[in-house]
Amino acid sequence: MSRLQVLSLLVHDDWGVMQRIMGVFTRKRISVDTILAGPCEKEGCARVLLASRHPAFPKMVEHLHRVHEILDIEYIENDAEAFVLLKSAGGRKPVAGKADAVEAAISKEDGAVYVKAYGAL
Amino acid sequence: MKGARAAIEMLKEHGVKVAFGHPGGAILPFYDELYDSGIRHILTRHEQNAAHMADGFARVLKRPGVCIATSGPGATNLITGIATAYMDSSPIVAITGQVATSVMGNDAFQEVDTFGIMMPIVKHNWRIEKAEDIPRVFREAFYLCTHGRFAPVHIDLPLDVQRDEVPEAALKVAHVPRKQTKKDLSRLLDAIRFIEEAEAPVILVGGGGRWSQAGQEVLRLAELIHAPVVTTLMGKGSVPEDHPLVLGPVGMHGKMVATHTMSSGDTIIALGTRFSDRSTGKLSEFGKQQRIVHVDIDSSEVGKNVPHVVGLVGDLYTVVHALIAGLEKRALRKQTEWTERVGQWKRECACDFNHSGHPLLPQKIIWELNRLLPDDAILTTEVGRHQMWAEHFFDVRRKRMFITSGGLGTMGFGFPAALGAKIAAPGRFVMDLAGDGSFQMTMKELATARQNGINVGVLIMNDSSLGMVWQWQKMWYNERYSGVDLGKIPDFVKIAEAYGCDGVRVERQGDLPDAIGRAMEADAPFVIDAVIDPNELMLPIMPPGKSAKEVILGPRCIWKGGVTAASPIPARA
Repeated sequence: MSRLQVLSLLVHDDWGVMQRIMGVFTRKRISVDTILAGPCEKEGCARVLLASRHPAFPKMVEHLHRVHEILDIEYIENDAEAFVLLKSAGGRKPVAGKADAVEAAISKEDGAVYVKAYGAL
Repeated sequence: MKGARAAIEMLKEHGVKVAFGHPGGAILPFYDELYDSGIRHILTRHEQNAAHMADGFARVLKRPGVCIATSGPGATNLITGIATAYMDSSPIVAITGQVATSVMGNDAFQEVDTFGIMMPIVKHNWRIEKAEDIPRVFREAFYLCTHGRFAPVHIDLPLDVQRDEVPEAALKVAHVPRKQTKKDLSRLLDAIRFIEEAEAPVILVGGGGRWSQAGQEVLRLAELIHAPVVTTLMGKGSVPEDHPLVLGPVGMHGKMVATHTMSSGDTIIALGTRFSDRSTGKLSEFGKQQRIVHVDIDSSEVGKNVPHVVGLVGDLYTVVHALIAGLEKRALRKQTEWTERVGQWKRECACDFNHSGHPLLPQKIIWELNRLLPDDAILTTEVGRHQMWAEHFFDVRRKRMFITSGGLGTMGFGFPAALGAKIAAPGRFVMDLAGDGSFQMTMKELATARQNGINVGVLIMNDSSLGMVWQWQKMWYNERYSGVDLGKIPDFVKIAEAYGCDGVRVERQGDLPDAIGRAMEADAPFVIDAVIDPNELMLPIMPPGKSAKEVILGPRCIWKGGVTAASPIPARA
């Protein structure tokens, strides 16, 4: 399975911003697997998270810079299928990686409180 | 102050003296304020041509041209013109009316999602929802289209917003740029080292050279490092072509000396070009044996078509200055061997294209234009074989300008662009070199030209067909001529006369100088209908998808440099 790649965009929250962003991907023939958008801590701005496994996905940073409403772009690469935050005697411990490895970590710390996340993001 | 008035005030604030447009229902408040605003309005006969005129205007003055249309069909008609400007990085501020915000989305009369349609072909666009945003948006629009890479911008003005009051305070809201133009010279030292180590450097100038007006700087760099200068179609005219180091255009119909020099050099210094497939030929073959320094104002262009380049991001003028400053201090080797070789090729490519023939040969027409047009003339072209003959043979010397639709290849661009250029430079002679197919697309603007006293010349290379398509069908589609015969061509002289303009039909080459002379002195738009030999092919041609090694030469081509190839096209008498 190829690595999961994430672009985190800080955008000016205005009409048509998602249309512009997706227009760039459509034109460059790159499909986006996951889209997550919402208001953020900065006033008048929003954050858009896009995830894809397309090999050319990282190159989109340059092309997205042409969208006037995008203020900042951060590229995050991550091959974790799952993530868990364990709270055991030894303190908090984050584990990220393959689903099996995460499950193994949970059973090893038997009885600890944990938060677990799966999926694309 | 009403929203429409505020919009007009913003245009005036940015020095707009002339606007091109076509009114309609949803832009009436704006036109009402335009009436006594002092801004000259050129009423076009089609909105597409308003955009082309604003484009031609912008290309001459390097300042934004303004075009106006109404909602719905007015806005959709603008699209071709805006897309043409976008592909050639020309700054236009397009203003369209829109139905009132209260009925937006209800499929009201003449409603279309202009905001959505325009998005992919403008740098940015706005749909103004509140009248108080008008000053801020207009200031941002004018800032944006001339900062960073030049490009068109679009403002959608709903009817109620034009009528609403703009608070006084909103008029004073200054525009604060949201982000600065990106500049990246971090690889300047690599670039300087590459140029310093080069044994056979070549400078390739694209449209960026014209927009940045960096011709003199490019020549200084060329003289400093002893590099020949070749141009793309869009870069033609950025450096005067009578300079000994300038070889002319490369690409599909470029000069052999330029194409051959570029593929023989060891380092390409690409300035303000996006490596269009029409300039490079087969992209996978391009630059394989060369080191490439790529300078562009748009960071997304660096590495887009040609990977593995040393990229410098910034305005051409400043970057070339930085390169010169870095190179001046170094002991550069004299490239005598390379410059002598290129000089030899240049002599081998300098053919005499003063061909006689009946019917007229197109090369002869360009030869006459070279001879007769003044040194500050502006030549615009439509799209087709005539455009390529002009690219190949026309001599953009001294202050001459060459305006053409290179990126989008819009037939019908040249005539309205010539009108826009003439308005921008009333003292210069402007001629549109047209084909019979292209001219028929926008010839209705003869009415606009006549009404507003915009006296341009039009020279139609008339071969009664869509010549470029005809040639491709002849060469690669087994002479199956599908949909290229234009049948009985209308009498262009009579058309000119019907519009109150002058015209003359030229069938013999001896009549050509007289006709061009009359066009230059006419006190009305002047149409020359020159009947050319329809069987003359536009050669040389680098076949689509092929590399510089596979160029098909013309039968009269005297090129002996590099690999001598006999033309597969037999010469005719």
